Amino acid sequence: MKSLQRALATSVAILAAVTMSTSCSRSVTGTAQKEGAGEGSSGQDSAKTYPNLLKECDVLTNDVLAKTVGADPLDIQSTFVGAVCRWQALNPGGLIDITRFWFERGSLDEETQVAQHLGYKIDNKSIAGVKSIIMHPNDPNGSCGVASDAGGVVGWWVNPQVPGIDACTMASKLMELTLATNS
Amino acid sequence: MFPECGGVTDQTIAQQTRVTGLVNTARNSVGCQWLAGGGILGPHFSFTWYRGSPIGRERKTEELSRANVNDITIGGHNGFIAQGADPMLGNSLCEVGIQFDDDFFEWSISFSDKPFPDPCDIAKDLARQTIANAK
Repeated sequence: MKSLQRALATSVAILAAVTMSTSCSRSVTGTAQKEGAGEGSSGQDSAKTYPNLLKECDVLTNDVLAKTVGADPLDIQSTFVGAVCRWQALNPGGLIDITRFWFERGSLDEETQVAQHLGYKIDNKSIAGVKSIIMHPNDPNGSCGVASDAGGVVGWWVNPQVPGIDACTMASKLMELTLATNS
Repeated sequence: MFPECGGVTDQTIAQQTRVTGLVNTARNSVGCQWLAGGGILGPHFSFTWYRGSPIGRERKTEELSRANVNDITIGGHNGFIAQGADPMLGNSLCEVGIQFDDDFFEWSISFSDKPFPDPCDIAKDLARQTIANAK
């Protein structure tokens, strides 16, 4: 379910010029089906509790994503869609890759075990009243992830391509917006 | 459990794809993505680990969007192999999804310029390596 075949003829210039076009010219394959659809009742419960979750990769609009990571809304592009979604945004400091995952049958415990297995430093935190973990890999660029106990497990990763960007604050903010109990 | 990137190094990706200047832009707990020069233009290569996610839904999506989707078994693990065609490039895309206990993983190999090696050969080989690296 990769995404975006190469895109936008114009983009090279665009990236360089810092004015990337937003429109995904070619769309992508990926799991268009809503999480939860036809998968038992948990999706419906999630839908009631966290209306934003069921918007899948569109859980937060590109405008909100861009703003949260300090990018112009025109400078964000989807690169992968499905239960795992990826975007790339251009912050004035450098490129930032954003990943969102939602594993409806997963759990925060499992994400914690995976993070331990991968050797990440883990902090416990409550985000919007929901039990969560913050994950810090040993990455010179300061990549940071957050996973929360909602609708199975939902998570955000912010991977800057340069050091000096506060990825944890960005990831936490994205989660806070995702867990908003009204859309 | 899998290591980061399914245990596949940046060097292996560069060797297999024969693309220079790749950057691993999204190395984290759900996968890795390699882009030329770190930007979205050009080829896309990725590993994604779906925990507690049904492979059937992913396969259905592939069947709706790809030229060919077939069964595949690698190292005793079942899954699908999906081939995508581009009018200009031919068979430039290949994705291999493999069920692994309650999870599945997917390698996605997509080229943007000729010439390129067979993307399905690469995806299958990386899937083999990932299975071998599971703990």
